[in-house]
Amino acid sequence: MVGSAIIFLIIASVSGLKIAPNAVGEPPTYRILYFHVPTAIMAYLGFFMVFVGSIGYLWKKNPMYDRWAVAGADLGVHFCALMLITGMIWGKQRWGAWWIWEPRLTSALILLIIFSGYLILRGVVENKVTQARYAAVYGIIGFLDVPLVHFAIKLWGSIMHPPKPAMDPMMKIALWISMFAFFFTFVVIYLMRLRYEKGKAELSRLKAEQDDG
Amino acid sequence: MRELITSTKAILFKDIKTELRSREFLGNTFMFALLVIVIFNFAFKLTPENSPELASGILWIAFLFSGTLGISRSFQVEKENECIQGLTLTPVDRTAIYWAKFLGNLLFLIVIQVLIIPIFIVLYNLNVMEHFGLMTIILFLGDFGFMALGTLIAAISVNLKAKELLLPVLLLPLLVPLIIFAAGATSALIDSGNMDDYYSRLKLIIAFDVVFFTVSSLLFEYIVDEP
Repeated sequence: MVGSAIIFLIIASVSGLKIAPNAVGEPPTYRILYFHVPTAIMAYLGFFMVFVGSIGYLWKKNPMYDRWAVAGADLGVHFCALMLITGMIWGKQRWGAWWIWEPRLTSALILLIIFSGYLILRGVVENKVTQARYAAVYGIIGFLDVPLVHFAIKLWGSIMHPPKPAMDPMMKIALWISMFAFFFTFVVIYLMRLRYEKGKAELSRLKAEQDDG
Repeated sequence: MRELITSTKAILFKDIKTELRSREFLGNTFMFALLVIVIFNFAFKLTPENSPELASGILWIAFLFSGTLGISRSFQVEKENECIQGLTLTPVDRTAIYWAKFLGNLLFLIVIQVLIIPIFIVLYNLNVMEHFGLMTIILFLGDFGFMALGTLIAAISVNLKAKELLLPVLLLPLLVPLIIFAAGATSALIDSGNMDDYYSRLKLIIAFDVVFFTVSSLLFEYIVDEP
């Protein structure tokens, strides 16, 4: 699984960096798009999993859903950070500044802060059940905030996101390849993370049993 | 529903009564809000030309900070001597506790605003009387959304180790949209006078208020109930 994820990522990098043609009227740094766009989508997918897992947990009280949420938050935060970094590298070339308070970049930053808050909250509560409930409440609220943050930042900001470059069919194919590679990687890490969380829960259960016995 | 309103009222009046016995906290928070306004004046070097432009942002930051102090207190007093346990042992709907705390916090912030806004108008040389009604609406709806979320997050943070720090860390990022809408609408009134801007933001604040008040009312029981 991990091996195929790495192979897919290599294929995606080659197709994005070598095979796809240059974009019309864009410097070659546009190629960071093949990383930037998929990481953005994976970040939102992660945050969406927080939402699904949180609702599932409050509804069914099954710790499995809590693990869905924590894995989603962890991946979402990391992909969101990758999206910001790739966006900044591109921005340095295009705008001449690492950071511009551009609406989508700014929204992503706010989401990164919200879901980092989610992970901090999980870190400070020791009781597992309380931790899961608090986190679920915060996760639901945080995800519902996402569309509002978007509206708000759009109203507030004035600099526009770069328009999509005119897409050559080859470019579209390259983008789909890297989209798939990132999605596959996401799923692989997500499943690993779930297994890790499950193992951790099992370990603390066994430890508690031993202490009782 | 009747029962819910009666219990909400009972808890709210209990809170108001205890607060009125020592008005110390209200006075201190008022001083804090006043200080924020005065200090911003030095940080930005305000002149009569730029003050309308910056005023709405400064005003909302002052409310945000002093309101955060108020909400952290609302559950802190219950935590002392384990009062919250007594409250959750009473056979009232959890939503009533949330509503009472929410209303108490809202009232607290409104009192602060009634005291601070006249001083603010004088110090910053602003003309708000022209749109007094619209200004009141935006302040009220902004406070409403702020406290809807703030009360919920405070109920979480009061149980955490570093609660004074974590309340703003958890709450402020969620409030970013509200601050953008509210400060934008306020600035439309006192600076640009663009009414389209005002109404577009007003609609979004109402959406924020409805979403988070409803969701928080539903989620509150998961926080206070012991597993």
